[in-house]
Amino acid sequence: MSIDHGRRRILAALSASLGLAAAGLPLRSRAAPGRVVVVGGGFGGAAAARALKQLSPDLDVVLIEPAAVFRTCPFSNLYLGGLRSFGSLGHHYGHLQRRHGVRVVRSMARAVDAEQRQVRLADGTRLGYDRLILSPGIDLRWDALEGYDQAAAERLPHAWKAGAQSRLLRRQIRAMDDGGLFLMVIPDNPYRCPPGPYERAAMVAHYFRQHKPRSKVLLLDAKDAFSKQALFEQGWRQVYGDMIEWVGFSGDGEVVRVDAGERSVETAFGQRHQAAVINVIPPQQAGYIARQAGVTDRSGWAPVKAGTFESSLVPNVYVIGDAAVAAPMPKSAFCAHSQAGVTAAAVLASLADRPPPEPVWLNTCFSLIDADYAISISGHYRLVDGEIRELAGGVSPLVATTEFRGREAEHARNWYAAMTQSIWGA
Amino acid sequence: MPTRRKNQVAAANIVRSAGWLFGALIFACSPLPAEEVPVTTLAHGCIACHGADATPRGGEIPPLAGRDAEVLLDLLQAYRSDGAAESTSMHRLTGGYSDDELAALAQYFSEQAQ
Ligand SMILES: Cc1cc2nc3c(=O)[nH]c(=O)nc-3n(C[C@H](O)[C@H](O)[C@H](O)COP(=O)(O)OP(=O)(O)OC[C@H]3O[C@@H](n4cnc5c(N)ncnc54)[C@H](O)[C@@H]3O)c2cc1C
Repeated sequence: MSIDHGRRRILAALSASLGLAAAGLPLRSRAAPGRVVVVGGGFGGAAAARALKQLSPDLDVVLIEPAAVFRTCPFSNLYLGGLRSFGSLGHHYGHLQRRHGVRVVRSMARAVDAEQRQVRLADGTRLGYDRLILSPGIDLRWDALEGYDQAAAERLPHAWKAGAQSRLLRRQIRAMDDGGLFLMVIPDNPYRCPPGPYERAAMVAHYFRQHKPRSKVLLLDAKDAFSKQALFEQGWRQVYGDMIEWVGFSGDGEVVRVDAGERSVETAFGQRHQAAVINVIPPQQAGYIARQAGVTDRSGWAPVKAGTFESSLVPNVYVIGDAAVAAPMPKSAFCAHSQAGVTAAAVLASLADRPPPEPVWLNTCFSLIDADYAISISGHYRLVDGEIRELAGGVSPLVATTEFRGREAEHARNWYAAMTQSIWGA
Repeated sequence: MPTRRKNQVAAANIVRSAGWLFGALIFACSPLPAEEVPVTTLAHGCIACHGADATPRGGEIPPLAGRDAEVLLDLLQAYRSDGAAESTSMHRLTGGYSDDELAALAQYFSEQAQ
C-alpha cells in the first residue's frame, strides 16, 4: 500500500467517522518533533495528550477514543447515593480538540504493530507514531468468577466502568423494597480504585437511610484488609449504625460462584447468600489493546520502566493509568493524571534524544462516607534506586472533628472540579 | 543522585515513625538541585486539586496561578513542617519536597497568567 493511498484512506475514514476536524493525518507525521499517538481518552490518556501539547505545542498529538462523552468513575458512587446527577459525570473532548490542539479521533484502536510503529483503528486505517502512549484502563475478567459473564452483568451489575452499568445499578437500588439486601462482591488486589467498594457501600447506605431505612448492605470480600479500613469502619458505624456489614476472607467472604438467575452467590466454604440487588466487582486486567500490543505479562497488567512508564516489553510504547504495574501507587484517577505528566515529559525527552527527567508522582484519593463526611489517603512518590517508593503520605486522622470531615468532603468536590477541568476543560 | 535519594527515603521512613523529627530531617537533606525534577512536572501534581488557572472556583481549595511567590512559599513551608493547623492533606503531600523544589513551585505559579 503506497503512502498516498494510505493517506487518502485515512482521510476518508476520518472525515466520515469523526465529525471533528481531522484535516490531514498522514501515516507519518511531518511535524518536526514528531507524532505521539495516545490510546484512551480517560484520566491518563486525555491528561497525557493535553500535557504533551502544553509542553511542546508543535508536536503532533493524536488521541484515540471511541466515546463522544467520557463518564468518570470518580463520583459515580455519589451518583448511586443520589448526591450527583448522571449528567455531571460526563466530559467531552471539544476543548482538547479546539483549544489545545489535540487531534481527537473517535475510534477504537484494534491493534498495535510495534515494529512498523503503527496503530490500526476499528475501520482498518493505520496511524503511524513515533511514540505511543496506552492508557486503556481496565477490562473485567469474564473468566475469573464462575457464573459471571457479560450476560450475568446485565442482572448483577459491576458498575466498575461508569456509564450504562452505573445507571443499571442505580435503577435496581431504587426499585428494591425497603428491607431488601444489597450485596457487594469485592475482589482481591490489585484492582481499580482500592477504596472504591467501601465508598460505594457508604453511598448506598446514604440512599437507604433516606429511602429504605430497613435495608442492609453486605460486603463479601476476598481479602482480609482494605484501604483506609479503620477510617471506613469508624465512619460507617458513626453515620449508618449497623447498616453496613463487612465479611473478609477469613470470615468466609470470598465469593467463588454467582448465579445471576437466582440472584445469589456462593462463598469458598459453601455459604449461599441471596439478595435483592447484587453488585459484583470481578477481578480485572489491563484493557484489551494493552494485551494485544504485547505489553502485558501473565498477571494481565503491563510492567513498565519505573522512571518513564515505557513498557518493559515493547520499545517506544508507554503504558500509564490502571493498565500499568505502578505499585506502590494505587490504580486511581489521581495517579493516572500524575503519571501522564511524568510520562509526557519522558516521551518528549526521548524524542529529543535526551535522558528522561527526574520524576515525581502524587496521589490523593478521597472517599465520601456522607455528603459532609470524607476521608482521604495521600502519597508522594519518587524514583529510588530504579524503583517507585513512597516518600511521604498518609491517611486522614482517626480522631477528627465533624468540621474536619466536612472540609475533606469539600476538598473532594473541589478536587473533582479541578481535575476534570484541567483535563477536559477549556 | 542515589545517596541523596537514600537519605530522603531514610528521612521519610523515620518521619513516619516520629513525625516531630520531620522538619529537622528534611532540612538536613535539602537542598536538592532545583533542576532535578522539572518544575512543570512538579506543578502537574498541584493542578490536580488546585486547577491550572487563576480563576477561583468558589471552593475551599484555592487556585495557585498568579499568587505571590513569597506567600505561596511561606504556606508550603508551613504545611511541610506540620505547623499549619488548617492542613488536612497538604502536610502529607509537601513532606516529600526539598526547599528548592518548594521555592521553584512558588515561583512558577506566581508567574502563571492571572
Ligand atoms: C466506583 C469507582 C470510583 C472511583 N473513584 C475514584 C476517585 O474518587 N479518585 C480517583 O483518583 N480514582 C477513582 N477511581 C479510579 C479511576 O476511575 C481510575 O483509576 C482511572 O479511570 C484510570 O484512568 P485510565 O486512564 O487508566 O483509565 P480510564 O479513565 O478508564 O480511561 C480509559 C479510556 O480508554 C478508552 N479505551 C480503552 N480501550 C481503547 C481502545 N482500544 N481504543 C481507544 N480507546 C480505548 C476507554 O473508552 C476509556 O475512555 C474510581 C473507580 C471506580 C470504579
